[in-house]
Amino acid sequence: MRPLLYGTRLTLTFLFLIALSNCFYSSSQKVHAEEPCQAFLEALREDRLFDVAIEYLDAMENSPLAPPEFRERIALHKVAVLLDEAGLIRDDARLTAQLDQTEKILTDYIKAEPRAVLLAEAQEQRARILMARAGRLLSQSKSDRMTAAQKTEKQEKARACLEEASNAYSDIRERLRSELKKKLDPQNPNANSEREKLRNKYVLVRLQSPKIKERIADSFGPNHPEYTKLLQQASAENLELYEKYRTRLSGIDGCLGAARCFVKLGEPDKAMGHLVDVFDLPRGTLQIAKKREAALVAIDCWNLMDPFPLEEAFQRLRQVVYSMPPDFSRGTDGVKIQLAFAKACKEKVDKIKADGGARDPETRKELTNLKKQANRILRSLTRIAGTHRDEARALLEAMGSSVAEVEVVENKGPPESMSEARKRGKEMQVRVGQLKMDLQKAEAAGDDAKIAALKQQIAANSQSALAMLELALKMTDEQSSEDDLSNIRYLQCANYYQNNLFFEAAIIGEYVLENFPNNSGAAPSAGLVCNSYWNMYREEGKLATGEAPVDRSFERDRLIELCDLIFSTWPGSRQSEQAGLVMTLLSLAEGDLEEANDYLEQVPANSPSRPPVVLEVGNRLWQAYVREKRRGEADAAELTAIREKARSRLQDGIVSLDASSVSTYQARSVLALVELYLDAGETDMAIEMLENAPVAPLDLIKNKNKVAKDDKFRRDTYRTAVRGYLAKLRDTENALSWVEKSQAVLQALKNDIGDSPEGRKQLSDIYLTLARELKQQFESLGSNEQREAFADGLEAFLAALGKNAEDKNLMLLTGSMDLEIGQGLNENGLPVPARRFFQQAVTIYSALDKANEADPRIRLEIQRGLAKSLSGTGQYEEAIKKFADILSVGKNRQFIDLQIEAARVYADWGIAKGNSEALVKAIRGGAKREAENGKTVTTIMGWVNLAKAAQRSKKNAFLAEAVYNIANCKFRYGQIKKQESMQQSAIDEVIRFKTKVPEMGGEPWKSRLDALLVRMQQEKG
Amino acid sequence: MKVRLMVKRYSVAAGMACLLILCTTETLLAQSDSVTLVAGRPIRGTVESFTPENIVVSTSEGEKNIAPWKVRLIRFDGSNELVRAKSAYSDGRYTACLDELQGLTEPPSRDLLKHEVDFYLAAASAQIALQGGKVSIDQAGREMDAFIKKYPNSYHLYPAKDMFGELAMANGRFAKAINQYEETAASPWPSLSFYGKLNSGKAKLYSEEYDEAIAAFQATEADPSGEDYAIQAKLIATCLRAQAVALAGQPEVGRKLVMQIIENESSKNIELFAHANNALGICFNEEQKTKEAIRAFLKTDLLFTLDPDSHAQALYHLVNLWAKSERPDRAANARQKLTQRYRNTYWASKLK
Repeated sequence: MRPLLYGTRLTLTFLFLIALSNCFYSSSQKVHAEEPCQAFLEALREDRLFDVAIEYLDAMENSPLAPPEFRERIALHKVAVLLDEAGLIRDDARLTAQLDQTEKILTDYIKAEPRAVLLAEAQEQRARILMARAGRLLSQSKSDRMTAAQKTEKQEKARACLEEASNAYSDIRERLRSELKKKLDPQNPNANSEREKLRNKYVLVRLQSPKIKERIADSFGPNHPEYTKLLQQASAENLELYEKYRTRLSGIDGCLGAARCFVKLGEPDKAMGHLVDVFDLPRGTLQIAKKREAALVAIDCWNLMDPFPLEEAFQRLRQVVYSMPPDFSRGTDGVKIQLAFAKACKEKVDKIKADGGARDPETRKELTNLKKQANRILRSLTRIAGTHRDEARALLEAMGSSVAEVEVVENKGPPESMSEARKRGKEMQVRVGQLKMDLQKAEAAGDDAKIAALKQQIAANSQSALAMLELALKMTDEQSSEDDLSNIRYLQCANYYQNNLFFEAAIIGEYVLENFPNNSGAAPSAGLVCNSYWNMYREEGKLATGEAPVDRSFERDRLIELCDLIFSTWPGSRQSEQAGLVMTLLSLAEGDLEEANDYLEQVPANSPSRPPVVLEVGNRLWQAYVREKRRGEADAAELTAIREKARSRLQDGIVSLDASSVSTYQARSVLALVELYLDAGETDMAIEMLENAPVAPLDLIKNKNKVAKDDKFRRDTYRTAVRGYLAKLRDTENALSWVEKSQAVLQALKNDIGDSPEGRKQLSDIYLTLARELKQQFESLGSNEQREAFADGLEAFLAALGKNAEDKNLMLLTGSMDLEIGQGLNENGLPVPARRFFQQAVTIYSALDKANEADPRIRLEIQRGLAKSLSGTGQYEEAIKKFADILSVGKNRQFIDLQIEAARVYADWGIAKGNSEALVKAIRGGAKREAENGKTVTTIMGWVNLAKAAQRSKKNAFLAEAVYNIANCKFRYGQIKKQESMQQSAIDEVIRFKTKVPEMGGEPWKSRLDALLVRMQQEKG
Repeated sequence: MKVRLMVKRYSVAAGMACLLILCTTETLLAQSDSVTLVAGRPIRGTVESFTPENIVVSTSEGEKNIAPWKVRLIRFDGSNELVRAKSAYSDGRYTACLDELQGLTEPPSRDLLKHEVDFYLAAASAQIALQGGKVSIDQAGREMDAFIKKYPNSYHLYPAKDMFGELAMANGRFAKAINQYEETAASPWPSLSFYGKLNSGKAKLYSEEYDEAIAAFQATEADPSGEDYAIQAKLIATCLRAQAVALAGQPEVGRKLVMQIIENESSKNIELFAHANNALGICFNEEQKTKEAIRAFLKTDLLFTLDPDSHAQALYHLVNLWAKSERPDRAANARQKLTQRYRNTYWASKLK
């Protein structure tokens, strides 16, 4: 806020403001202001702040500040905002939900019978929704996972949407035509501008008709008779529009549409005839954008031409490439155009060579230029993620891509000034960077000769750069600014860093920070110092895993100090972003997930370095969640909070993944997200992600992506897919199809592992894990109705699997699933269906037990399963015998989990049958036998001994379970024997534990123990 | 005959005109400085002396006393570089101005010129610093302070103090800023005096002296001046008072105050609406209405960005509000915008 001052630009602005505002406030009459609704809404849409836009529209609904004509269009504005947002949604389920919500708003609006003009606008928005729906259906129909019938169904639905949209646009067109006629009023001077606006709209609406025809034709595909017919109609309509409205942009759209149709019809000459008109438009921002569209069509067009019109393609593409805005050049279309241009450059190079090479200076110059252009573009394309990357690399290779060959190195003689020396040093350093990229590629290709040559070049260039920078330092004098000095020092620091001399880089960088904190070299040096310490930290970390422990506290402390300095001095800068990443990684390395998550927020969403770190944080959070859940001590809210953080990070991290360049780690992250969805009960999302996401694990396997070479990834994917498909059994009418899908995946898993003894072991492990996971999934369901429905579905699945009785692995799977689900049902108060599952498990396990499994580990699993199943069916005595047998073998008695299971059987027996002896054994242990040394040992330890083991191992959840069972058994014993003192002792047991361990082993046990205490106190009276 | 007479008469007239031009040129050669006024004809002569309140110019018609606030530009004879530097400064090309002055090969021949060079060096540095350029706020502050101390009688004194106040504000040194602004408020320079009051209130607001700030804004609003700048400044003072009232614990009162402006003034007054929406955002924020606060600050960010301080203030609040709404991506974007565009502002420094 500045007063009138000395003719500065600020003052001029101020004067302008004064003059402008004068119009508003110097008059005696105040203007009643209106909210700039439209402008604000447009700005919000442009900034993609869609949620804020919707909230704003909600707020404006009843605001007196909003102009009435804005207020009455609020619903239409909302629809437009939601449709804008829908255009950016990649997830299919979310897109459908968004379009449904949009349609509902519009339908409600239309029901309220707005004015005719508004109704017409609503019709337009409805047509947009239909177009979006059609787009979604057509893209779904392209999925490889669809059967031919499913594809046809989607395409038909899409066509229905398109037809409906076409009808809507026809109505709108008619209305606009009649309005245009009405506006023909020579008496009204304002009529012309209004008419012009209407006419523009009219042409835009007319353009929709050929566009829709073209999309319908695409949905049929080139082999369908309708394809040609519709494209011919579309091209004719487009041309008619072009003829009528040549001078308008929408007329040019007609021309482009016609050319596109001709290309699809296989008539490139006709197409080119029209594209030339667009290419020859005058220069202007809008025209240049149209030329880009023309180039996209022309690329396909030229490819159809024989011979390929190289010169024309080269000239036209060059014109477009060199007028491309940076944002566009990184998008799919921009990449396509640049790649085509680079190819044209290469073709020209090849042609020159074929014609005898560069014999005169002019051709030599042309050749060098062409190579330079192609190299520069291809190199930049290799840095953009996407399917084009491999092609760009291959082209670079094909051009013998060594930058050294392309760039003519001139012998310039010694530098004459400090700034020249600095410039040359910098250039050499840039060259080192390029050579390093080449080296990476050569290393990937295993080209040893090239690797050696490149290493030599790198070393030579690097040394020359350093020497040049030292020369620059020598050439400084009193006149040299601090900024120059800081810059040279920064370049030195960068040189050392490039050569992995991190300590040297850190020393020079810190020198810059100490001596030139306010100069231009400081910020980038700070970034390099930070990275150097991070590399040193990691390097030391690697050593630490070796023989002697290495103290990393120096690097760690320096890192923290430097990152703090960067955050405070250069917030929002690239260095700050890098520091955020480093601190996130450091926190991860030190196991502080909370801090890692917080530091990650320092890194802007659009940072290219962010996605891998986001994934790392997401994965670590997910692992922490799984670990905590397994420990069973964290309360539900705490667990959900961790899971949601993991979800947010994983979702964030996989957004930019591309199947063509995905790494195993990234693919595993997608799988982690699928597991997270399953854990959260979001089965549809999980299956969508498995099958249809841009990086869908099942697709990766099907398409033999390189990540599918990883055995663990494939098998985990199959296992997770079975879980997902089986989860669908609880809420779907098409249970049979999910059962079939599950079976197919199981078969694929079996085929993948093979039939070797080792494979069998692996398969049995996977099956047991799967069964356990299914039980967890089962327990996470919200209600018993859902659990019963899920159990019914699983029963059908297991019955279908059981048909294959000779496959022992499958039998093990069905047995363990029967057992786990039976337990799940039992624990949730559904004993009747539980019994069915237990009975089935007993049958399967008994058959397996008789088959005398050779592998001791699998045999133990079978016997253990049989014992638990017997207990589930109420055959406690047999179950205890089985456990006693198991625990008598080898060192099995020491396995706590087996002891817990056996003690549970005693407790269940005692409680269910009122068997006081079993209750005593549950507490004190039972199944005595003579040991090898002649002593009598208690095979089953009982809960008191288990409680002692829990106290020793400081596992509070385990201790809580022991206390629960001791108290429960004591109380029941007291009831049977009518001993009140025993009942009171049971109550005291829980109270004592509550006092000693207030958190009671975590939320689940706390609530169970509290409930037990209340029940015992009530029953005792 | 008539024609010949006419030709003769015109020839005489032409001859007289030539003589007159020669005389004027001779006079001009002696009167080398030129003073361009905000209103009225330029005055040519020699700038003999000046004080913060008066410039004495010796002209062919005798000595003339001119108030500095009536001067748009003084063109001193003897330095083309200085003329070019001033022109660059007027166009807002501050780095060019600095380059021009730093490239002076010979020291200025007159003390007046030396004073002029020192002022424009300090002023250009100040503007570069305030725009987030290569000069740091500290450095610019030191240069301006040195100028003020070296030339206590400069006719640039009050503008220099005003700029020094602005630099002190950007550095968060509010006591110093208040000191400077109170001095300009007490000056006879009408617009600087008016804005001195307003800005000292703003400095008090930023230093969380809400009662004092409210009093300063009320004093500004009560000023009877009817000049255009005064009307605008009074409306802005109301917006700032609304902020102060809200921060002092009465956000509802502040909101009512600012809503009167929003409802009655035109939103085409960009500077005013930036202040109004920021005030509204602060009121909502104090009322814990995060979404409404975000919306108000977003209006400044997206629609009313002409005033750097207001835009930076809006961005600062957006960084915090987006973070509070668990939108770290948007918070990071706002942070980036603030630190890139307004890195030397008080708001960017407050973010650290």
